[in-house]
Amino acid sequence: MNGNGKLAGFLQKLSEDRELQEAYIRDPAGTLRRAGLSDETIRAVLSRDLEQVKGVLEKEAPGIVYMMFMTIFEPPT
Amino acid sequence: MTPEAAAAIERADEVLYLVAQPLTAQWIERRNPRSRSLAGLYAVGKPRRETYAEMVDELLAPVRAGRDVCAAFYGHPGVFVHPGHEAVRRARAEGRRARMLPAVSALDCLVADLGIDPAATGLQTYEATDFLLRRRPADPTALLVLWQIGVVGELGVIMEPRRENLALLAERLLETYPRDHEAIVYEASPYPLVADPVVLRVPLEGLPEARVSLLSTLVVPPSQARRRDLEVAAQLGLS
Repeated sequence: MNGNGKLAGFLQKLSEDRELQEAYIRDPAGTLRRAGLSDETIRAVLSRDLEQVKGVLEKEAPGIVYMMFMTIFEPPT
Repeated sequence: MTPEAAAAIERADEVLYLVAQPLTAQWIERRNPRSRSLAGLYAVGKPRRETYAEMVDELLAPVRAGRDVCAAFYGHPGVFVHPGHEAVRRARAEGRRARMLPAVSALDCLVADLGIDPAATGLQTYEATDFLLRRRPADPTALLVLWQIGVVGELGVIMEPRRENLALLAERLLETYPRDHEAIVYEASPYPLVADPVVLRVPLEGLPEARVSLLSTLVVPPSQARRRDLEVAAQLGLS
C-alpha cells in the first residue's frame, strides 16, 4: 500500500481527536497500521525523527514548499 | 493555539494566514472557509520589505471595508513577524480597533524541550544576522539564544543555509566562548505527538558543518558563572 496523502490526514485527525491521541500513545504502531499507512510511512513515523516525518509529508504533497516562509525578520538599517 | 485565538479565527469575516505547515492551513480553512493564504505574496528575488508592505495592505483593505479580519501567523504573531506589528499599528492609527493575541513562539518550545529556565542565568536573545551586523555583545555568563541561524545574512528566499555564513557566525561566537563549548542546534517539532524536536549538540567550532536547517535556532549555554556583588548583596540584606 502506498499510503499517498494519508499521513497528512492522520496527523490532522490526531491533532483534534482525543480518542485517537490516547490510542496512539498506547499503541503507536498499531494505530498507524489501523489508519492504513504504508510500512515505509510507519517506519518513518515510529523513528520520531522530524526530518523523516517531514520527508513523508513532502512526498505526499511535492508541490508544497514547507518552510520557505520563515525569514520573517529583516534587521532595520 | 489558545482557545481565544481559535475563536478569533472562527468568528472573523475574513482570515488571512501565513503558516509553515499545510496541515495548519487546512485546519484554519476548516475552522473558517473565509480564509486565504498570504504566501502568494512571496517571490524569489522580491525584496522582503515589499512583501511585508503588501501583506499589511492585504490585511488592512478588508478592515477599511468594515470587515472583522483575523491575521494568523505561525508561531507568535508578534515574534519576528514585522507585518503583524505593522498591521496592528496602522489599524490603530486609522482609528480602528486592533489587538494581538499571544501564542507559542520557538523560544517557548525550546524552554520546554530543553528544560531550560531563563531564570537560572538570565537570557539574551538576538536575531542571528542582527547579532553579526551590529556586533551585539554576548555575555558568556548568561544563556544566549540566536534566532534564524539557518538564514543568517540572507535577505531573500533560500532553500538551504549557507555554510560560509554559519562559519562567520561561529567565528564571532569563538571570540567569547571556547572552541569546544557545546551549543545546541534546535528546531521545534510541529507534530509533538509523533516527532521529536531536533536537538543537536555541537561544539561551537563545528557549527559550520552541523546539520542546520532553515528553521534552526542556536542555543548557547553559559560558559562561565557570574559572581555575586557582595556589596549589593549586603545592601539588599542577602549576605
